[in-house]
Amino acid sequence: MTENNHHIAGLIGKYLDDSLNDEERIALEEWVNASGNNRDLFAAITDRQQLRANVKRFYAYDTDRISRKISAQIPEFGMPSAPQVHRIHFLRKWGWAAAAAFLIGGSVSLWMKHNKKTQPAIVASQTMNIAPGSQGAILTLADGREVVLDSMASGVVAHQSGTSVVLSNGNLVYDGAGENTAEIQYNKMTTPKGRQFQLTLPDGTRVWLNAASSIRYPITFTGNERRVEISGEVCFDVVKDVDVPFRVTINNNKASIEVLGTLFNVNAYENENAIQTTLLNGSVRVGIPSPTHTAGVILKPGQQAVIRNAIGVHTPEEKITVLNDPEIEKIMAWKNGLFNFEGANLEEVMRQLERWYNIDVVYENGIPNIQFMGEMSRQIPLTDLLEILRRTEVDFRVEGRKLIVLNK
Amino acid sequence: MSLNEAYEEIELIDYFQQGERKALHQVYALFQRPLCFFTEQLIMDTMAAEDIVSECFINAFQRKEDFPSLGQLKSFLFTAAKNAALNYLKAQKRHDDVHHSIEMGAERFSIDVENAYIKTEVMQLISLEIEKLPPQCRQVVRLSVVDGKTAPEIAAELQMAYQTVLNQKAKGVALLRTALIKNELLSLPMLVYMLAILQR
Repeated sequence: MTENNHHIAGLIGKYLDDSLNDEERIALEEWVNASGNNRDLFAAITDRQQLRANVKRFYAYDTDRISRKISAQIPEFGMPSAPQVHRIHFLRKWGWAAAAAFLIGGSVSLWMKHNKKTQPAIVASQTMNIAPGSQGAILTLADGREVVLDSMASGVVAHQSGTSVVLSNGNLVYDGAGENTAEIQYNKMTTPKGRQFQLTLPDGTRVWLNAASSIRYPITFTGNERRVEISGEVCFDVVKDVDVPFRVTINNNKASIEVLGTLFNVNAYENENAIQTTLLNGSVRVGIPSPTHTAGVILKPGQQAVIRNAIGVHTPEEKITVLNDPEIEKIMAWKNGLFNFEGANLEEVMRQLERWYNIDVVYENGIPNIQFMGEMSRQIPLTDLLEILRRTEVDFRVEGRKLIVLNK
Repeated sequence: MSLNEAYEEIELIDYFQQGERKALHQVYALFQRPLCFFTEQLIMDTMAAEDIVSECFINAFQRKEDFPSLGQLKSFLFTAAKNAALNYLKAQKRHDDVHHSIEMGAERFSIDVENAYIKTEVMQLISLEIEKLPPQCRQVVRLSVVDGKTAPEIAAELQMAYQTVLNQKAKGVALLRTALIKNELLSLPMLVYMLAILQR
């Protein structure tokens, strides 16, 4: 943050403006050629698609919310001009919850619905300590090569057709304009069980992948739409561009979402009983493609579209329903580092544990009928979590990566 | 000085130190978006960045007397944002239970900070150009460029005739072009957007 950086920024500004004089041009060229970092940075700043995304980002901050927070601490700052319609920041709220949950570690915030007498569980089985999931993913490049993104070290991951793939603070970003190759090149990001990951697509759209999920996307968006394919659970913060709609295809075209610019979460795990699309901000159209037509609904913020995985006689129209009051905190918990087991039954909880701890769950003598409440950090070892769950009418045994559930 | 006019720099810091509301708001308006953008580049989380920025302003406003110049105030705000971003990342890394060389991480972070700072400065140059436009013209430009709205949508939102929207856009282009030629100010990206919009 030096004077020199200020000067360089001014030169880049003039470059964009095409108003550099000879002396300035030489100075800028020297700086650009001084290092690979400078070259990459210059390319990133001057790339038109990124510039456009950055301008939008720059103006998208919720400055009312910031000034309200300042007002609360600094009386002379006063209230900002006319309070506007307040955007609801579920994510923010739960981000703090995640931090709090992290601070209190694995301590109990999970209760049984029927608060039976709890007796201390006797841990008979030897349990190896299974760690919680962490950041990581596998990137499949256009030529089929696979890159394992398991460490958080920053740097350039790959170069493909004029685009650099850069890992920065655990977030994958595409830099550079890309060449106009005849064929569209695709990358695919896959998280195995026990890993989650976030990336920024070439248009600036943010993507969060929960465990056991994937997204396939072109390394440069061309043409009149931005199309990606997903599976598992994915949260999107789409950069708005009315001319180039963003389209999400789910589980080999079982469902599709058309987006203008918005924040939404898709849960499309094949072992859950429905594909749930929850809208937090903006507007999306969720549909089921069929040979004849596409059935669909348009969601408002706070609504959820549910597409049941029912097989049989249902028409697309019958399969898709809209919920007006989905439990946003519960849906977004994963993105904020939390398990939210509010109202979940044991099987539902176990499916989440399978994906996060990379384990397989087996029921030895039937599936206990238990409902849970509360939430907790995802950053605790499995043994600690099981310790808490044992307070209910259930016991566990761990064998390797297999979790055996015992009906007490 | 009328109520709507902005303070010049020396006046601004003077009134700022006295805790005058208008000066506080002007400082806030000047740095809020660049600080958000800068912090977001470092931590990749919009809302956490906004929270960090509000804390930075609260800290600065609590020690107004410490800043004899706008430059020092700016430097304090960005340094505070950088430190908060680093703490956030450290907490997150601990969270993720990822261990790697601290030295390497620190070196990478300082490069990221320099990069984010340069990027932010360029973004501020561009936004200052947008803010310099006359109000109605600026509104049209912002709605079309930033919100991606079409001319009919803007006309409806601002309760303006469709033709007026087109006229304001044309005026925006002309003004930016003049700024470019006369003052060697930044405007090419704006021109690019404007031309793209006009071709629609």
